[in-house]
Amino acid sequence: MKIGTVVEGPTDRLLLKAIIAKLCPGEHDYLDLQPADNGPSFGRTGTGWKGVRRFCYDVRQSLDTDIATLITDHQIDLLIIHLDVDVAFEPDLQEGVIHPVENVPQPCPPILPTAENLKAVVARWLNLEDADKFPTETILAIPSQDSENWLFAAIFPDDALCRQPHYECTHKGNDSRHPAYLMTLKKYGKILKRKDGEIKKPMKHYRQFSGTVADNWNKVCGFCSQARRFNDELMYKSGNNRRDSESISGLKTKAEC
Amino acid sequence: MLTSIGIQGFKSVHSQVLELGQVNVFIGANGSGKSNLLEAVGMLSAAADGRVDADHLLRRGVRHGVPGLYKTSLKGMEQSAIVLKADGSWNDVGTDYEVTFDNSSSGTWIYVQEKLCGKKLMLSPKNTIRRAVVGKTLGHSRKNIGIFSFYIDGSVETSDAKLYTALTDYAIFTPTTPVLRGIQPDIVPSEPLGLLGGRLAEAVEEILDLDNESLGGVDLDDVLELLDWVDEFDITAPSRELLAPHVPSLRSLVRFRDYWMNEKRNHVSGYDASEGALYVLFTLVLALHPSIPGIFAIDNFCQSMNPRLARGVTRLFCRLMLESDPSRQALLTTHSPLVLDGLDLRDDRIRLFAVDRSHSTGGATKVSRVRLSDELMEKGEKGMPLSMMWGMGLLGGVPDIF
Repeated sequence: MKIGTVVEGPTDRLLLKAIIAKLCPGEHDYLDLQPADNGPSFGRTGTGWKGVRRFCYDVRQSLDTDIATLITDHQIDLLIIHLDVDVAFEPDLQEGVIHPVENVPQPCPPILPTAENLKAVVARWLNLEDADKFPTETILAIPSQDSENWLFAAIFPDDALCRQPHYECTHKGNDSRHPAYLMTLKKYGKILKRKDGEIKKPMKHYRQFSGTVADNWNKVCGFCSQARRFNDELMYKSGNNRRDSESISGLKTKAEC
Repeated sequence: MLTSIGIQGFKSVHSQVLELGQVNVFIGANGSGKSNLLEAVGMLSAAADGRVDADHLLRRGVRHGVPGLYKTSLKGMEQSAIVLKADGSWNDVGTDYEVTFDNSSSGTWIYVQEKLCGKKLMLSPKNTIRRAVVGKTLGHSRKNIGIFSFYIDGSVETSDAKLYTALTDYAIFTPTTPVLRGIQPDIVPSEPLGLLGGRLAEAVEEILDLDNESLGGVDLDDVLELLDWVDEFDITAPSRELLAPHVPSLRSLVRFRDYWMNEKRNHVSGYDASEGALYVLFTLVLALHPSIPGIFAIDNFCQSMNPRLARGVTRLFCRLMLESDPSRQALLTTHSPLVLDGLDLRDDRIRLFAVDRSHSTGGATKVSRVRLSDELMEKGEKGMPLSMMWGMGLLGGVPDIF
């Protein structure tokens, strides 16, 4: 399959690719659409949710096209758009949107209403009328509260935190219970780092543990409803949307899901 | 910090003044004169050090060519003496040094005059060896020996002394793959790093702190993010497990652990590793090692790197240079377009220059600073990167080849 990725950052991309490799074995061609910034000279945000938003705006403004045409032009079988749920709280999330989605963050549990609102926000970024207007090749990956919840659940599935009834509602604001914060502690192997008050995500550790996320994906899905949704959508759409592609030897590629 | 360099009558440069920032990148066609700019500073450096001959030039990474070709030799232009000038400012106190040369048939250049802050530098008649003064009419310069060092006479705190140190320490680094791999000796050895890349492993070892996961105080993660196949790296003694029997043995080796390889056989030495990783380490040593000169040049910055790696390295390099204390300065030439996308030109300390030769200049090298005009900003905000603008010829610094 040819898979386009629009993600907040390279660590998110690593995890998603490992999960896809697990669920859809075979060789895939990746088109890493975002982050693929044009440099800092013009103050354009390279990574993070603003990078995803900028990509969406660029599709309709700079590229003067729409997401469906982009998918067709690049012969993309699946387009993964990733956004962490915690961006729902960003005050300037819908800056530049003419008809913003109201009350994006919703009380959690359940997480679904907030995730659905975020999907609608991405649709507005892309100038789509609503979330049900995404091309069928599109899959929204919206980990809650962020990708680190999935990472933590994969590495520490026996931790009490994972077994809390509302694991996906643990917001960054409450540091002591947040998976990303915990993973900066010695007890959790310092998988992430804290520097100048910020949590840093060492690429090296994501490379190291992306395989663990894939191996323990069933456990992650057990703890995270958003992981289950991504799983189900990926399984369904990868079966339906795969374009037959040929390898250079002329043989059909095997992308079994 | 050096604030400007004036070059007159040197090789392809008829007359140019470079207003410098902290990171200065020169782009231009092959043969446009980029390296000549770096070498002019090298010649100025040797002059400040007291002698301009093959040894002093080579030690700074300047190609020692035929003396007659150092002077500008352009059709329709009269040959004039070479005049080189450096302006600098330390703690808001400015100073400048200027030197004028004439040809030498013996290979050692003759000083016509040296000036400090616009006044002639002369040897005091009372002590012709140890002391130089400015503005006196008595005395004389010693034809093939510069006297700037006599004037400084051991002082370190004045702006004049800082200018002297900045100039004399200057060197042009031109890394080459066989030297970085350790299979060829560096013909311009120096410490901590040879100008062609010799001593790379030793220099990395001197700033690598594995216990604290840092390289020269920078988080190792920031380095490893650039090398996506490297799980970790260290410095080790050569062994036959890492080097094939025919490979000459070195004192120490950079050893990389490959993320993708089988755990029992996943170490590769600098000899076998991707050369890009070696160039990355080389570049970072220049930005981080405490014994690297305060001002240096890299000819062909980011060579042998994938475009995205070049962009990432440029970003990190700029960040480290701007964080350096005391401030360091770099002059870089490059042919790698994505280097430009790693430059934040909104920061005045980072400067991009286009270097061109054309009929309008009579073939002389012309250097123009690329500023973010409204037109470029508009294009950039619409998503066009600087690299693309360069390729389209919007910045200058491209040959007329289609």
